[in-house]
Amino acid sequence: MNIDDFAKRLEEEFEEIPLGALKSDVKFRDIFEWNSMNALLLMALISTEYDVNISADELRNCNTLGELYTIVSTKITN
Amino acid sequence: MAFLQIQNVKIKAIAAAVPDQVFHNKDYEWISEKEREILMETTGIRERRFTKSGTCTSDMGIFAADKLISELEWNKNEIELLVFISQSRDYVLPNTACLIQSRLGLSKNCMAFDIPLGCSGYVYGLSVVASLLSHGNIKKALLIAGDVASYDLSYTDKSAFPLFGDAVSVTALEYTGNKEDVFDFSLQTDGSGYEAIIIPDGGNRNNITEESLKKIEYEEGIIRTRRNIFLDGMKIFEFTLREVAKNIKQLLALLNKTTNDYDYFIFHQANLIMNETVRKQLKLTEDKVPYSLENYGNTSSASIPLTIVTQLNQKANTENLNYIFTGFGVGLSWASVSVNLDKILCPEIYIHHNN
Repeated sequence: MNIDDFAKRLEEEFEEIPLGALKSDVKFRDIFEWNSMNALLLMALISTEYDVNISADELRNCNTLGELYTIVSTKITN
Repeated sequence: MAFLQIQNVKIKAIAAAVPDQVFHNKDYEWISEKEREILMETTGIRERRFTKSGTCTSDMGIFAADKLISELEWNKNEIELLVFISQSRDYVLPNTACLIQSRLGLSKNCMAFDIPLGCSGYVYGLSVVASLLSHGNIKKALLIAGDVASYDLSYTDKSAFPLFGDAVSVTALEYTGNKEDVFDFSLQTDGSGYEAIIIPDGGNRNNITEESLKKIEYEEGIIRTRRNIFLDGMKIFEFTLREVAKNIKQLLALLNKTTNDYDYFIFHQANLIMNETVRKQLKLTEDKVPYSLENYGNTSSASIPLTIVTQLNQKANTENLNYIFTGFGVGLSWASVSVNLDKILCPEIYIHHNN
């Protein structure tokens, strides 16, 4: 997986995100209406798609897509 | 991990009862129609059952137990163990199980007590009842599990009100003396997460004061008192994703089994998005994971038996099936059991009219 695959997978999951809108330095909360339900959906997607779990705090501390990708990819390699 | 194997005991019957009053989430006027649609879609919960004020879990439990005992043609004098799993008891004390023993007309030779667990309570209750029966002295037992959650809900808390429904279940268990009748349990706890699902006031830690009954606005659409149930959705979700599938995998590994060895996985009915994530983590097909959420919501410790009664009762009556039951939530507490149910008595759901 690279960050482009990761962004693409998120864009597929969340219909409100315009295709190609997610870039490494983009604050993903600005791209679409961020709410607690979307936070849960994102945690669920990462868990079922990549077989790793991110915590609520880890997600809360992430601002950009790049930061989120780093957490997920580090967990995958560990 | 607390793994337990218990032999010589089996489940003879499972029944469930719900109140006759239906509350549909499309009529939840505290939030906008669009929010209601999104809510029903993501939680999977369309309607719930609520009792009328004044009806206790024990009232529904006694109603259901009486009917099931008749259908089983059990002699009440032979029931020497009664366990009541509930977080909604009749009084602060005594234990509600004592009142149920008397009102059901069970013998004074019956041991009876409460276990005040919620979402994990059914599996915990099975472990305690099966364990006590396995000694062989007591031959017949009743496990009554459920809650009237509606009393603890704030209508003006959109994060909790739409999720819960009232229900109770009755499970009849028997000592068989047959070593092939086996339960395998895996039971866990993480009390560091106790604040994720909590009613803060009313226990000894925080006695009830005037403050307890004051309505406080925490966020837009979330107004409740400190006597209402509070849910930290993110924390619960994080816990479920981290622990539930792992608990089941560890149990299967210990038993040298795979998910293919089981006909059904009956999960506590929390909400659709959470339960579906667990299903996908375990790579289970949809047909192996039935839901009662849509019509009854999250019914606490009644959710597993209620799902069997409402979704599988024909099969449960006529077929020999292998199940995993998994409960998870308040505590935090979670547990799974591997169990075989061979043509049990599983009547259609009982409707409790509380006029």
